[in-house]
Amino acid sequence: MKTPFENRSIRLAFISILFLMSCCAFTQSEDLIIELDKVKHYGYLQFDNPKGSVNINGYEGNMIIVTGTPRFREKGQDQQVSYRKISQPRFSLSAEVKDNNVLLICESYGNTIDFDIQVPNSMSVKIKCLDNGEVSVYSINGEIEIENEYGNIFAGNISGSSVINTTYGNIRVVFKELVSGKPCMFTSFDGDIEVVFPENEKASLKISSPGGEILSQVNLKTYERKARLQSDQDIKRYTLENWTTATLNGGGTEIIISSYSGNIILKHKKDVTFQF
Amino acid sequence: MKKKNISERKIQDLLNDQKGISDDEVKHLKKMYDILLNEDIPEPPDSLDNRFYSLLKDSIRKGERNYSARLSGLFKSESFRVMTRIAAGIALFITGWFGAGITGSNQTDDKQIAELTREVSGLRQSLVLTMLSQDSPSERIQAVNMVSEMNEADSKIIKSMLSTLNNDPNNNVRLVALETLTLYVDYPEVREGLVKSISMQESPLIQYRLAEIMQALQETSSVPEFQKVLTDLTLDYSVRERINETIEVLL
Repeated sequence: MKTPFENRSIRLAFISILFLMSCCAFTQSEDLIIELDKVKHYGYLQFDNPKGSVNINGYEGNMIIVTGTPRFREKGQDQQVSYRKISQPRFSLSAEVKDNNVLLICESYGNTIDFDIQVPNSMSVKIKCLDNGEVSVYSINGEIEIENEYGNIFAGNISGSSVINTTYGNIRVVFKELVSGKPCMFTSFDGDIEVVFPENEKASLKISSPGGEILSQVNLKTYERKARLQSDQDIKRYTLENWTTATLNGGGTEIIISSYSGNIILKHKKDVTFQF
Repeated sequence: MKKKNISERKIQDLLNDQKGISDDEVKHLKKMYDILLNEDIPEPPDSLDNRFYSLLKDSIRKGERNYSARLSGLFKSESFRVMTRIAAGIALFITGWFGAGITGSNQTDDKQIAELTREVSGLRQSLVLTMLSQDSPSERIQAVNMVSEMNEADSKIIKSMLSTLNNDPNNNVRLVALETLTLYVDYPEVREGLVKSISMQESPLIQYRLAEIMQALQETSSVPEFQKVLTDLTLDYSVRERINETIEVLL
């Protein structure tokens, strides 16, 4: 699982960064624009935000536009001292590109920076939010990998396979469509997980939440748990699977949902008021 | 007397041819010849003929008796038994040959199927190993799920599952690997690997599951590892409670 950027020689293949400083007096937001090769297949965008939220929007284009905004405004000028404060960058941002795979690197020196990123919608994204933020991803057709230990995760209008995990946050996923073949997996330790399916989509689900409830508005067909026999020297052990297995419209894309104490909510898209 | 004349003439001829023979010798020869000629040769009697024919008949009869005796002996003889055995062997061989022609095709099919399944499982294993090294977490989850569908896993697969459990960058993949490894807890290396991995896990969901699994397996060797985990001050409260419960049960 070595990313191509860990390799020093590949670092040389580092293409270009266009650092556009569009400093605005109020928002202090800054843009980084990365141009991708249109001919090649779009790879993935990998970004670990040390502190702050990440919001990703898919669009039809060939550029990645990264906008970073410090969440907390700088204090106004100190009137008592006759110095004028020159605003300086609160974070550093760089991008390494190789074969249309982009690695965003941010150093925020303990500041909370919220990022808004526009990416071509066929790109895959790998987002990690380490602290003090939420992750939301909209309209992405590629694969999605999100990890946000302490905050909520929202994925809307997605159609690729997604692997999402959090410890204390909630997860809400709204599928545009389910691409069969690759499994999806959502896990949270303490948070709720809500999955919204399009009508008539087929899925095979494996759900477990020993401390929470499974609440479904979709037409799920659940199966009896299977017993498994294990022999250990002279002891035979019969165990029931600790998953609830179910199918939606006859079964299809595998979706694994696991929580410890959160509720698991399954809905149809028509029942959700918030649409994209 | 005719005979005498012929013999005399013959003798005369001989005498004419052989000049070196003396008169005495001729006289002796003459005498000898006369004696031989004058001797009466007896006629063979009828009894002799009868005797000959009876002997001939006897010998024919004897020959017939020998033939039948030989035939009956043939069935009883050792060589005949050996021959029948060889014949039976050949018959068996031939029936086997034809039998194989009729039913043998199924056997070869079975063999081919067995070979194919072996090949497929080998391919599957190598596919799992390559998929586990993929960038996409979704593919890695798929690979781990493939292992849980296998009936048995070899040490290579077990090793890769354990390294996935300990080193995979994605928590979800690690969780699935743990769930898959619980299917193989009767392998001693799996138990050992699970115990070792307790102190390496940081995700509360995995720590919680490990505490549950170790309690179910009554694995007392996991206690020191759990105690190591308890020294982490940032440990989730419910996980801490669960681990304490597990340690209490195991001790």
